[in-house]
Amino acid sequence: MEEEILKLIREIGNDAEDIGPEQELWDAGILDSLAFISLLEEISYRWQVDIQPTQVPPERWSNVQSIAELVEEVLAEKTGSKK
Amino acid sequence: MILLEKIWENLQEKGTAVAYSCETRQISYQELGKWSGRLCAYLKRQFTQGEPVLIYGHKQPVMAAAFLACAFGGFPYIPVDSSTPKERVQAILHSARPQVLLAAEPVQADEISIIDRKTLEQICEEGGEMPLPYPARKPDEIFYIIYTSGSTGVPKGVMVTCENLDSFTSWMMKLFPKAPSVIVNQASFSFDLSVADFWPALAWGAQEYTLCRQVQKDYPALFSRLEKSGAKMMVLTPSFASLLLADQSFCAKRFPGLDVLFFCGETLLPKTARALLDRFPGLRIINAYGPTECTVAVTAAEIGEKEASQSILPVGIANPGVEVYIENGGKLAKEGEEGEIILCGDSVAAGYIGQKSHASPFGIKNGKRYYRTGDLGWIQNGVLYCKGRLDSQVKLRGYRVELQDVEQNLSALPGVEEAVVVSCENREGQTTRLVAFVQLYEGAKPTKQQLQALLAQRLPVYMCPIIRLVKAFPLNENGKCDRKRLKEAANGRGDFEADPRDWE
Repeated sequence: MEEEILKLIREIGNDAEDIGPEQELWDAGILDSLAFISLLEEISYRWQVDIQPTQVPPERWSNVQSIAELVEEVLAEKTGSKK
Repeated sequence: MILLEKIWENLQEKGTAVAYSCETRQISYQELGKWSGRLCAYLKRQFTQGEPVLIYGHKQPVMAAAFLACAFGGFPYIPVDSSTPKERVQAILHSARPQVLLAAEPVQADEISIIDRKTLEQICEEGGEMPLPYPARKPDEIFYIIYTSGSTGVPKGVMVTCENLDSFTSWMMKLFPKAPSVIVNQASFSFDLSVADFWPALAWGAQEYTLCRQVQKDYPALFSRLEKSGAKMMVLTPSFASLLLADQSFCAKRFPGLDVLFFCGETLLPKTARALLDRFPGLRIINAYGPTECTVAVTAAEIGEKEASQSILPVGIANPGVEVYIENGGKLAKEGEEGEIILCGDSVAAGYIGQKSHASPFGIKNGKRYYRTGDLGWIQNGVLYCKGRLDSQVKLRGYRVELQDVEQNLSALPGVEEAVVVSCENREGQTTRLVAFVQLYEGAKPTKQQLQALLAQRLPVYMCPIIRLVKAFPLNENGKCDRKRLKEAANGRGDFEADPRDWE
């Protein structure tokens, strides 16, 4: 998951070719409001989960590692609720 | 001045009704009247009327009091948000030469007397009753000076007169005959979009409800603050609406009172309008258009289901005090024919501060001021449509940026021989980012990161591009820099390659 999110951010982030999983994404301008919306759209499209940003503490979007954990949690919840 | 007369009455009559709200504090009409009255009396004692005053900070209530103090006292004010980097503040000081800087936040500035927040609050909150004088301002006096990106690398100060602002606010009053009670402010006071909420709110006797930048970056906090507002109306950029729409709970169920959105500042896309109408059935969407040079907005269109199904949204019908012309090849364009939008009438500002008149986009025709917008558009059935620019100005998340402004500031950095800045657009044609291609002098050593850090001291963060180093620029057939190829490269297409150092 971390690899996939990393790849995704490298595509949609600003100047993100050489970022690492623990790098802070907002202060450096890699993510901004527009890139963030693209990120949500891509996550929704690829993993078929809709994350509501108001349900998530903002610090969870701060780096790739944390975003990957978040998506995994949401995915686990989704499959869990199906069972 | 009609606007100030209305506000003066509200300050007397509205008593404990909330006038201005930010995260940490809200102040009533009564308090706002007292604060601004004392501050106005202080300014009149210490400073020269008619000379500009710079107001610096980020949406603190004392800023609101300072705007009123200047407006009633006859001081043109220059609003500068605290996100503005030091060198940009210095450039503004150099250009406008204000007599004093009222700082609601700590600021670094040279060669100017500064009144800090503590002193400002003391002036506002202590001392006897000093009611604001009844407003007596002449139509051609400068009301405010707002700075925008200029193609020379130095920001341009647009001088808006009392007549200009009266024209805009009177038109707003007509657009909304039933005054909304709470108006949400998104834009910082550096941008004239904020004029569309701040001054009408006070003229309506309504509450100006601000969202500070920290809250705007934090979804849970943003939505809860919006929910608490009981907002009836929001003044916002389309980019901000997209951000809100990214959460499903931005809908009528959670925000039942919201019934008007006033958009200005960048192109509103049909898909954004449709999404809003789906979430808020019956929502009134106003799509407005206008450059800072013509006082916030001069045309407006109501966007309903019918309009939202079109491929491009109209920006509508003009303020009755303003005439709109389309010029193509030096002649007036025919119905539906594309050309440059020219605005003429009451809303056209007095020009740029300290700038000579030649080569100016401002002029006078038949006794009326006009402004050549540089925007491309056409008129169909009396309705204006706007698409893009004639020059290299772009709109990035609602912020207006001259690409040459960024180029000039980059070229001024040590080691930089030349810089070319291009914009990247998404599928809908919205600008998503800026990319700068930078050629260094031979042997010059600055790295990309160093250049980025230096540039951030000169330009606001939204103007800072991604930097790519190049050994040389690709040239077109005329021997000029081939911007098209650079643009393709910036968008990940084409065959032009950056300096290998860039990828290390």
